[in-house]
Amino acid sequence: MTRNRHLGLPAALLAAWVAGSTLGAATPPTTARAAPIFQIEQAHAEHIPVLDGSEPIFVLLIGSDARPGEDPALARADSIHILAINPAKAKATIVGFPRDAFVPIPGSGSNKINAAMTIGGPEKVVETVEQATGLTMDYWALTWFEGFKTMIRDVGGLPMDVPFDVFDVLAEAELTAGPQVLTGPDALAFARARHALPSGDFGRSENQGRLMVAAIAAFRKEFSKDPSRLLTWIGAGSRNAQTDVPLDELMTLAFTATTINPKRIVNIVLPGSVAMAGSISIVSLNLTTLDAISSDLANDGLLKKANIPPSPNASLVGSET
Amino acid sequence: MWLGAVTANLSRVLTEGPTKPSVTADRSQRRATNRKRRLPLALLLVPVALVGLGVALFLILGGNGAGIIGGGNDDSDVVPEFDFTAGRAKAVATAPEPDTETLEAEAEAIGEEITPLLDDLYTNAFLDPANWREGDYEEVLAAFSEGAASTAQQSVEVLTLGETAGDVYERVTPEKGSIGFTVLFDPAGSPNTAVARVRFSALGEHSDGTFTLIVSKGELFLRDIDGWQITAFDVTRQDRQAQAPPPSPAPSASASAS
Repeated sequence: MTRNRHLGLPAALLAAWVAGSTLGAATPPTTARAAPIFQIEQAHAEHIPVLDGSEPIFVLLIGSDARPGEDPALARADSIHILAINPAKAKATIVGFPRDAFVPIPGSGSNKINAAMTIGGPEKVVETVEQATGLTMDYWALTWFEGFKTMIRDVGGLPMDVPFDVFDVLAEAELTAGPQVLTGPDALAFARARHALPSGDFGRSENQGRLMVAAIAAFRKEFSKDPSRLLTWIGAGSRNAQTDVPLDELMTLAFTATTINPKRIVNIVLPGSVAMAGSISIVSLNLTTLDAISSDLANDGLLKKANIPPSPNASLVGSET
Repeated sequence: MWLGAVTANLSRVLTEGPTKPSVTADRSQRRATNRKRRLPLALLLVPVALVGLGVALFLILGGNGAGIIGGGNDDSDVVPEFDFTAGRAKAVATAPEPDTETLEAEAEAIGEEITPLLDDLYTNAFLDPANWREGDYEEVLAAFSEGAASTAQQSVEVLTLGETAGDVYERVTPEKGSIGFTVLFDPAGSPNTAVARVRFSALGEHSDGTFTLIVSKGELFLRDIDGWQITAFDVTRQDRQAQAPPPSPAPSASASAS
């Protein structure tokens, strides 16, 4: 018996966090909602993303702290990650910003980075991150507590190997280590928990990156089982999204997402130290490391080994293994 | 097998493509159109064929009319008729409040439009002796968009009977073919992408009397770029040894029984 397989699918991605979460698992949503559960947009009207694989793709993933009734786009951005994709190498990098990172916000002096969105929406977060890194974002994607939970619920849960126990009363997290399918509330609790982590918000940001990797893995697995499901997921995602990104572009992005090997995603958090700015507790980013990481990402979206900072959760992962 | 390396140069496959005429619904008309491209070669071959025909007739009929070359019913150069059995087409909407009924009907129509293209594709790829004897699959590659064509060319051994099939097979006959469609519509209700899930099998006869069941399964992504073209594909071959088919009853047998 001969068994040859050839996959000639073109590349791309929808913001992997969003795509992965929304498009990622077993059962597509069967209903459309009047209110979107996430938003994805091009970062700049004048900047056309290059999606032919010749350049890295940068997506700024923003998790809003908005509570029911609040405008997610004007609440604090408590989860900020750069997703850098190298389509040619099927690799990606996730770079988390500690929410308390004290950075210059264009036109507004210096402040915690999570305040940027309250000042000028997702666009201001993009501007702030771009100023800090020198990178140009191609897209931004925004979700919020309720949207995030709904996405996970709609796709039937998110399969993930939780690397260590996470018990955090304030985040309502009660997760034991090991492979499991996270429900929407579980995934949100895992994303929010920081009191149980020795490195606090640094560790939390890394865990949020872990969720993104898990989402990409689930999406890829689903796609490899049945490529035609891509259309189903794109349809479901589009019906639940607020976006001006053309469908062709979303298709290309989604195809790119399917090419990323989750095992080849480097998930880091920008290192820094806790400091005070007046009476406010802040994180002072390590600017040397930030520069090195930004330079690597600008080059090809990937990090040189020497510039990969240690995991803020290293002690926890070590204790479980 | 994931071909990550090839994806980069295909990333524009979904949005770009060369101008290509629409598929003609009438199959015989399409075949005639395809054949036109071979006309110059055919013109050259006509005198040779006529001489050959004369020699053959002489050999077959001989002086007393008895056939020297046995049978006289060799159909190994005939292109077997093949049509996919199409299943239901599924519509996928991107608009928040889609007109499901209209989209489903449109998806069915698109499936009906694409099916003849794929009938021809698989006929050209696996069944037409003129192609597989020569290992020439130009007509197959023409079904792919410009961006996907190079990958298709690299995958010709999977997508077709293969460039050396003429050395391997004596005859190939279709067994089964089924096809289903999923069609993605943009928010305005226009078709964006269609995915065809294809299952195809044919029986290949070797010169030693053994058989191989040729099995091709996969998904073809198509877009309407001045006619439906394959922009991406995920195809698997699962060929395996097969038993000889049961002999078909001779027409004379039933006649003699009655």
